[in-house]
Order: sequence, then structure tokens, then C-alpha cells
Amino acid sequence: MSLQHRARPGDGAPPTGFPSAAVRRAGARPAALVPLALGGVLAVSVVLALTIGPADISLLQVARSAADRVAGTSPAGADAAALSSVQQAILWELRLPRLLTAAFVGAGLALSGAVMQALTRNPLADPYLLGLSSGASLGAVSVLLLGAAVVLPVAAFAGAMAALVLTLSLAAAAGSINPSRTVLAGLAVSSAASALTSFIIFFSSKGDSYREVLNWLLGSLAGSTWTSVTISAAAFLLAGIPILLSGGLLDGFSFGDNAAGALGLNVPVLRWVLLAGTAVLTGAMVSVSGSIGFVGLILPHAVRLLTGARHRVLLPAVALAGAVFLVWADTLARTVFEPREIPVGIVTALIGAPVFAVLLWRRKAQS
Amino acid sequence: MSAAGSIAAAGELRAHGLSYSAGQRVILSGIECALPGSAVTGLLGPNGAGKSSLLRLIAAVLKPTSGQVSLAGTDLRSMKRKVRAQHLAFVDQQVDVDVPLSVADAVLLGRLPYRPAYAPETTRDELIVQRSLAQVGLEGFGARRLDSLSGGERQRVHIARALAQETGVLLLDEPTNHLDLSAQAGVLDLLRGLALGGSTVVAALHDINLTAAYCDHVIVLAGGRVVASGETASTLTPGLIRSVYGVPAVRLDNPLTGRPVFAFGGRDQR
Repeated sequence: MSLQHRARPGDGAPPTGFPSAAVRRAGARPAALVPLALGGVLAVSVVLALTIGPADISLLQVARSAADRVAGTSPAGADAAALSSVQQAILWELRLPRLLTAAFVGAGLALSGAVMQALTRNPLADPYLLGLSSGASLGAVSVLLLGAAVVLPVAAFAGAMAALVLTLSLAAAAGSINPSRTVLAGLAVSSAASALTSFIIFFSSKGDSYREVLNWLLGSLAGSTWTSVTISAAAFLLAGIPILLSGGLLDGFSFGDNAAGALGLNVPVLRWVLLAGTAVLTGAMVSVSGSIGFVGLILPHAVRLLTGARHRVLLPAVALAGAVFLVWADTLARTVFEPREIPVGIVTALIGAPVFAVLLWRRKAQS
Repeated sequence: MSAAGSIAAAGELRAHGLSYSAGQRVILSGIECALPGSAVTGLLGPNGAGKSSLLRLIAAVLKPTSGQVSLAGTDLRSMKRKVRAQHLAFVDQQVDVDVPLSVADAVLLGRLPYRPAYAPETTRDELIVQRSLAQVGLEGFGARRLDSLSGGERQRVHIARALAQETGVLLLDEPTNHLDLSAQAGVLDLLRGLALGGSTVVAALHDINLTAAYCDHVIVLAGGRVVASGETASTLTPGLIRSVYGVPAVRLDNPLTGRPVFAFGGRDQR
């Protein structure tokens, strides 16, 4: 027997003469660099994506225009690098707010997915599959019908929270909560919420109701304004940042609720506070962009391959990766079929569905 | 740090009139038992007798319908969660974990009760992780992925996590499930070593012979009640086994270990 019985736990001080290399847990440090690298990728992505689109605007012109804005000088018309006022408007009133909205929405959805997967220990958990996004859409569309656009994000949050509670209680009512039951319950909730959303739009809309339905159900960033940036950024600060800081607590859930409770965590309270946080994030993001699918599902899985499962590193990395992903997905959505635009949800679904299939396949192989 | 030593020695663990119901179903009723220190206590009983529930009540992750569990006279549920987690560690039935955690990260979870929610781990935490891994014979496994280990190694990682909690009480639910013979012996030898060091070790076990071979004390549950408890050699008798499991048994002496071993007849012999 090679086991060594060294006294009892907590018997004297830990060995202090260890070489520091032995203390550094191999593999932990490189993973911590992933968020830094992703931050760089995000910054570069946003700047690059600013130059992409039907109106030709070069990197130099972006830089020049930004410098002018900062310095408060008006562009000199004769300068080759100067932008026309139309180009200025495209850059600062269309592309930039849209990109920033995409970044915050992507970050919020991906973060929500990672947290939901940890709390429900369900690799298939994500705001879209569990019905939160559709619930948020329904909440948003309902208050639009009443003409109260001001409370849109609040109504979307209420819709997301209601959908979450409904999905989880439906799954629990059908027996113990397991991944496939939860996803089935989410399917039922999201189908019902989507149908009601469409119904309300067809009944109330005077304009192009088909387009509006598509935008809410598939998600679109086409209408993004600086208001959208404000709403999504505020939600990220309010709910996203506290969630990012709670990575150490989420780790405690790795081995089940009982293990988490025995580690001194208040399991029911933590679970509901954090899930409510994801509902805030999802509600706000859906209220500016409709329900964009698969971001919350596939990004956590992809990023975990890079960082491992520790949430202190995983959560910031997943938020940044979600932002990068949605920035590029939306850039594709608005440029590939130029001059036509497709809802960004189509792009994320085209990428996400095969990944989802692979996940299901791997689960089947395991069981 | 040295506080942990006194924690390890801190007082007796007792259940007083413990009852637990899930909805209408009574799982446990009127449980009275003492769980002695510096000893391994085995929790035996047929499926559904309430072993896991009793263990979870003792770990205070379940709330009893009535009664209480006390440690050195203090009701466990009156303690703050974190303080309680510095006195009792709990290793749940093994669940398949497909999260890509490293061994060191899994053990580091045992330090959660010792730091504020948002604080990162300290060098001391990492040293304790190293020491706990060494205690379970897994030096150098820190960087390995948890899902790359064998069942026995994984169980020892969970025990190392409990050791990193620096508690005097260690509760384990079916720690030998799904393990091969040598891994079973490895885990139980480890638990015996911890008990020798002063810990109170309580394990729900399925196997009567493993219990007979490794446990100093035994508590036998049937139908949600304690039907027998006490020192293993005098408590585990063929008569008790027959009345609890409905299986005829004879008691032999294991010539290799000198400990009792039971041979069973069929439930209905032809």
C-alpha cells in the first residue's frame, strides 16, 4: 500500500520549505492569460469591424475621425483622410453603437450561459434553450403593445425571470431535474412564449409585422442606437460585473448541491440570486436585440477548452469571447448578402446548431 | 493554522431525536446516536434505510423535521455556514463530473470556508492543497485533469478536498462504490489512518464485510430507525444480519486479518 498516513488534518503548519515552483500549480497560470489575450482580440475586432461595410471607410479615416472628435476640431475638407458628413454619421451613429451593442449583448448572453450551466450542472443550459430569451421577448413585446417603451428592459427581465421559474418548475414537476428534462421544459416554455410574441405583433403591428417578428424571434442588431448601448452596458455593469466576481462561489457547485452546502455555501440563496442575475442580463440584452440563440450555449463550451472549468478565469474569458463572437457574427450578418441584411440570429444558429449537435452526440457517447 | 488542531480534537458528535420526512414519506425517525472521535464509524443498512439522509443531516446539508445534531454540545444548525464547514467535511456519493477541473483546483475548493467570497486563494491555501494531496498519496497529481483519473484516485481527490477543509469530522457517503478491491482497501486504509490521527470518520457503507474489516463502530439502520449500534465486533452478528437483510449468515474469522468476516446464504435456498 503506497498510501501515507501523515498525522491528522491540520496537524501543525503546512510545509513551508517548498520550492516555489512546487507551489505554483502547473497549468493554472497560462489559463489566466486567456482573458488578457481575448481583451486584445476584442479591441482589435471592434476597430476592424468599424471599417467593414458598404460605405468605404478605411482604418486611417477611422483614426483621423476619432482624433478629430477627441480634439474637437472639424475635419478639413481637402484632406484625403477626412470623412464626409454622411460617412461620419455612418461611423458614429450606425456602426459604432451597433458594434458596442453587439459586444455587450454577446458578453451578457455568453456569461449567462456559463453561469446557468454551472448552477444547473447542465451542459445544455443557455438563456435561449431554457426559454429565458423567448420569455424576455414576450415581456418586451407586451409592453410595446401598451406603448410603454421606457420600461422595455424591465418588462423583458420580468419575462425572462417568469420563463426561468416556469421552465425549472416544469422540469422539477416531471421528476428530478435532469438536463434533458430541463431542455424539454425550456422548449415548451420558449415555444409558447414565441407563439404569443408573434401573435401580439401580428395583432398590433401596423407596419411590416413579418420583419418585426423575425427581429424579435431570431434577434437582430440592425436597430441599435446609443440608447441600446446604454441599456446593454448598464445591465452588464449592474448584473454582469457582480457575476464575474462570484467565480469562486460558482466553483463550489462543481460536485453537486450537497457538496456545495458542506463547503459553507448558502446553496438556495446563491442559486436564485445568480439565476436572477442571468435573467437581468438576458432581459436587457433581449430588449435591445431580440432573442439571439446559441451564444450562451456554445461559447462557454468553447472557452472551457482553453481555460479549464475554474470560473474565476472562465467567466471573464467567456464574456470577452462572447463579445468577439457576436461582433463578428453581426458583421457577417450585415455584409455577406450586401445590400440585404439578415438577422444575426441566423448566423449564430448556423454556427451554433452543428456545435449543439456535437454536444448531444458526445453526451450520448458518455451515457 | 494551529487552530485546526484543536478543531480536529473538538468534542463529540451526537444526533438527538433526529427525524426527517420528504413530503409525506418518513425517511428517518427518532435517531439517537453518538459518533465517537478517533474512530471510523460505519453506517450500514439495506437500500432505502436512510443512510444517505442520516449522513446529510449530520453534515447539516439537509434540515431535519425535528431533533438536532450537536458537536461538543453545540447545535450544528446554530453555527454559521462557514464555521460549520470548518468543523465538518462531507464527501458525497461519487457523481460523474465532466467539468474539466484539475486535481489541485478540485482540492482547492476545500479552502472556500476559509476565505471571503471574492478573495483569491493564498499561497497558504496552495500549500495546504499540496499537503492534502500528499496525505492521500497523490503527490504530483495536482496538474492532472480530474476526469483522467481512475475511480479510486478520484475518490482520494475528494477525500483530499475534505482534508483541505481541516475539519475534525469527515463524513462520506458510499466512499467505496464502484471501486475495485485494491482501491476499496486503499480508501478505507486512508480513512483508518485519519481516525488514528484523531478525526471522527463516519462512512455510509454497503458492504458488510468491508464494514466488519475496517470500522471500529457500526450503526445499523433499517426502516429509518437505528436497530443496533456499538462496537463492530460485538454488534454485527449473524442474527442481526438475518433480521435486517433477511439473509442467513455465519460469522467466520478472516485468517489473513483476524477480523470477522461473514458468509451469506441465499435469500430462499432450494
